[in-house]
Amino acid sequence: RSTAARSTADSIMNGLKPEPTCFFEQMQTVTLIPGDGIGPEISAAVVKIFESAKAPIRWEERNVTAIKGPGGKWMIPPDAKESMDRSKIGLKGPLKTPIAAGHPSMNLLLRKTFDLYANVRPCVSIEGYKTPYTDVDLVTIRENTEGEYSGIEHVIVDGVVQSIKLITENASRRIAEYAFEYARNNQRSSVTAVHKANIMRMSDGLFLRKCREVAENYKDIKFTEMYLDTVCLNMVQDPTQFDVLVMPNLYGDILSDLCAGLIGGLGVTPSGNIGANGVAIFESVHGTAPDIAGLDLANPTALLLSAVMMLRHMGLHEYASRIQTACFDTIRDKKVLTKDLGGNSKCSEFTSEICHRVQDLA
Amino acid sequence: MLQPPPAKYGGRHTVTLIPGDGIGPELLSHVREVFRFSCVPVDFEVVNVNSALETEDDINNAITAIRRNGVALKGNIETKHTMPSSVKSRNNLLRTSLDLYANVMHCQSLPGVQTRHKNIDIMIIRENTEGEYSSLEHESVSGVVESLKIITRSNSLRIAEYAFQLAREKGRRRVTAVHKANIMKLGDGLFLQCCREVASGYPDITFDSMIVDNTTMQLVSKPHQFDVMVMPNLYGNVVSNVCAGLVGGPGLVPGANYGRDYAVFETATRNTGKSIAGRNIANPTAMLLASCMMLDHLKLYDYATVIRNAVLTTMNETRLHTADLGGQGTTSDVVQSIMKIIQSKGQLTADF
Repeated sequence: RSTAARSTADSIMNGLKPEPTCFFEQMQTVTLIPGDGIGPEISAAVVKIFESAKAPIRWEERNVTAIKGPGGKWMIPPDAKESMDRSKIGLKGPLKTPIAAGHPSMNLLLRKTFDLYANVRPCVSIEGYKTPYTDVDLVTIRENTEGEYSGIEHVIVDGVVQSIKLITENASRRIAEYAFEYARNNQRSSVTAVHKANIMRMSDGLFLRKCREVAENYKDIKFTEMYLDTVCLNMVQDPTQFDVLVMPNLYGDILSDLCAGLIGGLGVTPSGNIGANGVAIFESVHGTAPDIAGLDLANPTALLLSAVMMLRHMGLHEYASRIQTACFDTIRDKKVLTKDLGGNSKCSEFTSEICHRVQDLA
Repeated sequence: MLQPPPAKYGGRHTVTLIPGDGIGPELLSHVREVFRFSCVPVDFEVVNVNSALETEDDINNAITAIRRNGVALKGNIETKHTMPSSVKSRNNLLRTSLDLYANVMHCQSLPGVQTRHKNIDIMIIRENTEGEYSSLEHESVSGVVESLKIITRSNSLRIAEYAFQLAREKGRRRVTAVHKANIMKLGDGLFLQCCREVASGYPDITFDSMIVDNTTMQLVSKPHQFDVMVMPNLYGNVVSNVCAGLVGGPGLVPGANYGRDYAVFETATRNTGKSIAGRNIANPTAMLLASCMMLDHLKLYDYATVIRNAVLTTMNETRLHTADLGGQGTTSDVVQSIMKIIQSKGQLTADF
């Protein structure tokens, strides 16, 4: 673990009072899960930037490697669960996918433990990181618990496999409600339900009906429906026509990655998972990049932007804007960029640059 | 590969024509106009399918006509979801009844069209009869709906075989299977396994695979890495629409559905285009190129080449671009230009 993360986390753990930042703002606890590979170094970068911004966040670092609980069922360590239940907010770096470890992926465990039903990805074009698509500003909201990822598959007879896609009224209503609430809270003007109800009449039809019902309670937000294929077709020609998109699991998986591709990939895309009981875990969605781990080459942008999303979720908009501006300005100026962004600076240099800007913007 | 039906009645072919809804009827009437003008030896048997009816008589008539003629050209038939869910998509019924198992789409950048990515040349082969489009759904408990996705070994082998055969025929170097086998381990796992088995019989062609979400991300950033792609039904829907968008939109790309005994041609992205119907602004390119694919299938290569060249030459005229390409040209302007070019080639044509 890098020194930066250790110092902040440990000082709190050792009972030292963290430096009071502002008399009017209470420190809020956030469970920090650094993750694997480049996870620890990018988490340290985020902590450092937050320190420079004097954000009222107290980090509680936890590990979520699965352990076998009583009864032989895999679960996340109890201290991690306890911390999340208490703080309600988490920031997570990339977790490595276990192969032949005997336990399911940690992401799946987290999702089930905290009932993380909504995956939210705002995709905004980053000025200074050029892609063929400019002015992208949309949000994909994906139902994350059911749909095509129910994991229910059977071999009917040899050579015939059936995979079950599950759509329920409750999950559909819940995600639709979240989408409209999000739109209202973030001043977005329209919500589009993405579906294939022409082919999957009952399942996507149910999803669509629930969206329509919820839309009735949000007359201030425009509601439209569009076929998945039409969305794909239009998205690659003119992404500016989209605002908030809500959809079942598989379409959400595909579309959110498609949109990430438009703005520059998973290295610059933030993501948040909203759970029942007010829990929210924000995360970077890229991999652990084991080939560059520990070499101070990683790009912390994705995790940083997810942390910014987290600040907005917590109502700390001023800090969010400052940190985001500092990050975007650094990228736009192109003087200090990590390798994947086209430069050859180190992670620590990139981080320091953002820290300076954040302080200047105060 | 599929053999076309032999010509009858003095060298003329009969092709089933299904106008469909939206822009279908007007685009197909332009196809007939161009064919008449170019003296193409094809007669069309028109079968209308009324999407507002709940009975399946219309679509069954269309299917019978296609069985009779072996070849069809169609517009998209609208699926109204206000109807009960027992009323299935007519287009889907047609594909499954005729077992048109391979949907083939060749996405090529056209020189006269401005797009963000240039020089794209991707062939997409999509399994067309099963997968998520099995139309097997039920509400087991109130408020809980199950939709079945079926993947079979035989259909997966069949489509993989088709993809590799086509790749070899067209001199393509690489086939990429698109899947989500990390999540749907049995279903997509079976599909992937079948592709690998078939690949081993084609050592001259490189085979690799990619997860569907990564595929879409790669398509919008680095599309040139793709050559031939093969995939199950739903991912095919997504990928083909993404690719169509990359080369300029739904008005440009033709599509073909091949089965063991029948072939049906249409626009690749199968849009009804209700909002632009009847306004003379639809782009006739996709449908005309689809009709050329049909002519190739009927071995009427010369006619296909003449019409195709005229269409592509007209595409270079930016002032004739229709609204979908950012222009203000009308459908009839484009068609007139195409016919002028055909006439100027000196072929025997009908009176203007």
